[in-house]
Amino acid sequence: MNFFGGLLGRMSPEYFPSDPATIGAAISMPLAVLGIAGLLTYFKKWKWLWKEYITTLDAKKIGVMYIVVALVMLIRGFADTLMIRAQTAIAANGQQGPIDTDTFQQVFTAHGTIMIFFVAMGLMFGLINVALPLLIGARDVAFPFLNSVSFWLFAAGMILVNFALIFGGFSAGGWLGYPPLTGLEYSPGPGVDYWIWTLQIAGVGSLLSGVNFFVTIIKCRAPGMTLMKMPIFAWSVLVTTILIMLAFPVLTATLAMLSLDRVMDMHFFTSTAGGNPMLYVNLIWAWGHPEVYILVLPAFGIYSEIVATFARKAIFGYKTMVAALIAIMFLSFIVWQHHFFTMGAGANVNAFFGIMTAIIAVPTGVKIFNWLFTMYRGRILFASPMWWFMAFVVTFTIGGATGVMMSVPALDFQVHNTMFLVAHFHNVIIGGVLFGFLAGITYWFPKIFGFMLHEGLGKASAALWQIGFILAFIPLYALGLMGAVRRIDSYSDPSWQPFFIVSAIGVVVIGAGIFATVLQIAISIKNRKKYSVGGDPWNGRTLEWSVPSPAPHYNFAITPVVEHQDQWWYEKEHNETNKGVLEDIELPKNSSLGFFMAIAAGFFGFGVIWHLWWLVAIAFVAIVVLVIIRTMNDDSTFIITKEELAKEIGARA
Amino acid sequence: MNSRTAVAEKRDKAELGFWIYLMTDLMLFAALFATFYILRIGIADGPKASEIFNIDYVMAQTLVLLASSVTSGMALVSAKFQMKKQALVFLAATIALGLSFLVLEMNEFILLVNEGHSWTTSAFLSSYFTLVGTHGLHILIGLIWAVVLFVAIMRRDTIGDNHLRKLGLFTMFWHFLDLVWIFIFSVVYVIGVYA
Amino acid sequence: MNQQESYNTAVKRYIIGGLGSVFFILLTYMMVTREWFANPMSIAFFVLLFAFMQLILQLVTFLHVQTETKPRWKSIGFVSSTIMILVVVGGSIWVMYNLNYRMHTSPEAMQEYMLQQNKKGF
Repeated sequence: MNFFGGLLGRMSPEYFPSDPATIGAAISMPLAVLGIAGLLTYFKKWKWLWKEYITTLDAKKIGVMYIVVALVMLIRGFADTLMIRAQTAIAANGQQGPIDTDTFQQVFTAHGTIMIFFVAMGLMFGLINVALPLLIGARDVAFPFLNSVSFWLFAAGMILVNFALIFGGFSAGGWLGYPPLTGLEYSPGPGVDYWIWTLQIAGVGSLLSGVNFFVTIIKCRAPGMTLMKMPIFAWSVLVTTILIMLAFPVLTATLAMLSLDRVMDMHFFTSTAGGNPMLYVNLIWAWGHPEVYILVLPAFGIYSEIVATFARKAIFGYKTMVAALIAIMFLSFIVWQHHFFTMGAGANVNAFFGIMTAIIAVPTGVKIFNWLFTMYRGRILFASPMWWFMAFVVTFTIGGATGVMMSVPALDFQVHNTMFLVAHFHNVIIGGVLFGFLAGITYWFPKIFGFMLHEGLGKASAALWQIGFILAFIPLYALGLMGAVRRIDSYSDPSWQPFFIVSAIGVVVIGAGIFATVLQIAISIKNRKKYSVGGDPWNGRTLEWSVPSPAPHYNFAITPVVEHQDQWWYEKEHNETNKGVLEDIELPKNSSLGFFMAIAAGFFGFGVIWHLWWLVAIAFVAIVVLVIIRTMNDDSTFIITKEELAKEIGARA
Repeated sequence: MNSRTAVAEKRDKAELGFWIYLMTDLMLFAALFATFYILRIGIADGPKASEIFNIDYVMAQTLVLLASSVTSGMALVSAKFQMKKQALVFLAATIALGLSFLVLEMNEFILLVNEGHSWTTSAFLSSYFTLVGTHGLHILIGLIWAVVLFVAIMRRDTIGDNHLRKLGLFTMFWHFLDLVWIFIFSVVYVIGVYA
Repeated sequence: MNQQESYNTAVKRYIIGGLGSVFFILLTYMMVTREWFANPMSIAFFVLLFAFMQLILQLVTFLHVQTETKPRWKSIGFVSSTIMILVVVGGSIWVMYNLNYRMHTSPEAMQEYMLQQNKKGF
């Protein structure tokens, strides 16, 4: 290997994009970044950005950053959606669509990868960061520095997945990247490596967050808040963290093995030399199924908070809600084989996993009934978060029903990997996960920023998403039953085309819904003085509504003492003040090390992708050095004395 | 707030968090173990386990790592009772023994590769090198950690709460690695060869 | 970790743990080199048994797991993680064994297998 060969690895000009869509993206993304950098320079906001956001260890701000990244990535993933549906609406019976086949493969791969790992996971971690400490009466998460590391690793993954558009191209192997297609022989280029390292880096961030939030719930609850007095959202996060901690290591191991196959010519998943590609499918779904529950359970938790608040009633059946969450947690680990009923394991195996899959519908149904029973005889206020909830009930129930249908292996053999499956998983993810997180953003926005989001546009967005969803996905169920398989960019049966066209129209309606949300945020920011509110705009039940809006850095000036479920509601009903005592507060100082560690991790991944081994070595050493520097820091906190606090509270009154 | 309880609370949080992290590491190794067990028959044109593994050599490795686990525990106990010099001696012994383990392992790997049995030969060898190699990588990171702790403790006159807490976490990590090795020893080298 | 534990008790813990572990390791070594069992299943069973016993010994003596004050998060965490690991590892082995078993080498063998399954009424 000559010197320059080693220096540039396998980089070469052939990896710049050549099709118009990718070229467009490759130019507009850096332009957008430059534009933002220009604005920051013009308004002299670099220092503010560094101090308030990049080096912050405040979970609320970290949560906001997660949500901002996730919403931007929603636009990116949606752009992929538009391309997919434009192609399928046009390319019937020999007609050429606007996207060529190779690009199409990359587009649907990017769509799935981005939506799951950056939109859904991003919104989830964002909302947990924003709301969880407040809901359990804590000041911050258990390990604030680790929280920062997790976010910046997530951001590094985001940068990598977008950088692939500019140089190298992305994977064309689907969002789960099955070998042998994604092995060295059939995908020798850098695309699959970009996919692997995006997920690995973001995945480590997720795992660390799982540990962080678990310890936060176990160790940082306000005094008196026993586990059975926690809000249901906290329970859902607790169960989710357990799923994260047990599932993500499997993803890390499996992606590492695929990477070793590709980079070091190993034979885990090759068709020759004793490898077994089916093992990849098994392992990746052993992670993949818990992953979808990781996404939906926090959304369920958000619904619990919203329904109770807007029905003005305590959640119905607290104990069964907790039991259902725990049941779902266990069951979600013993159903994964249903994702490959057709791979040929035989009747006994298929039957076992099929039965387990059907059973998991039971605790889920319990939760839905409990929400409905909470609403029954409540004095319901249909504010925009409730519109999202109503959309969820309709949408998710359909999706859940089709899921139970597919849990029967015999039926699954007919519809596996058809558009029926595509409709099902979008049904449950959009209805369950996305609507829940959009509801959560609307619900907790005033707590973080001190002003409300425009209600009318919020309701419009929910309505547009609901209508758009029906138009975009119900036709896909029909298409699947008619024989249309997934991931096709053209088809010969012209009777399918009307369905694809209706689906494309639905996508445009969804686009209007997304636009409504963007408009909602923009208008609300512009009118923030008019929409500003105090600490309790929704007449809430839980502790976060007992602090001012925007919530101060330390959340609670006085750590609340908890004696009841829905402690804040109890205090309002019985006209009691909290029995907590004013004390000094210790908070973490800002730190830039998380940011730099993630940059190093990004370069590590970049180095492996392009075979720049010198870069890999430097990045590894850099990470070790940065970690050591952090451990040598004995002065990482600062104190706010109770006298300063008393002055601050007095000034606010 | 009483500063004794603050120190204890901080240590409890750190220990629970690190313990939970070790459980996730355990799951990572479990996935690699499952892969090894499933791919052990994939020997293709390469050797099988009984042809390349030597139980006496592995025994030596196992005893060396066990010894380092004991010395790491003794380092922690000495530190808890403020016996700084003794703690440093035991920590140094841990590092030396850990390094010997790594050298023995590297030697075995190099011998195998030189004989033409590398990770590119078969699925069995790929999973062997990856499972044992991942354990070795963890040992390497542990050794770096131990050296940093050694220097940090050496520089101060007494052993502070922070260092005690971090030494506690290190010994947890080190014991965990010995426990994983017991299963590597049992599954890969013993069951893989004799059963 | 107990601050009340005396130095001597702690040292004794590590000595017992260390010697006990050596005992189990030697037991395994002698069992296979001196061929106490011919049946591979018995060998596998006892090797794993000794490994688990050494695991418990080290958990108690080195890692000091059982002596936390309630609630015993470390013990709960360890037991539940182990159960989940056994489920995922065991489930994977079961699934892969079934998949591999049905990967016959020739079309004729596959056809014969399917006819046999048909007769059984699956």
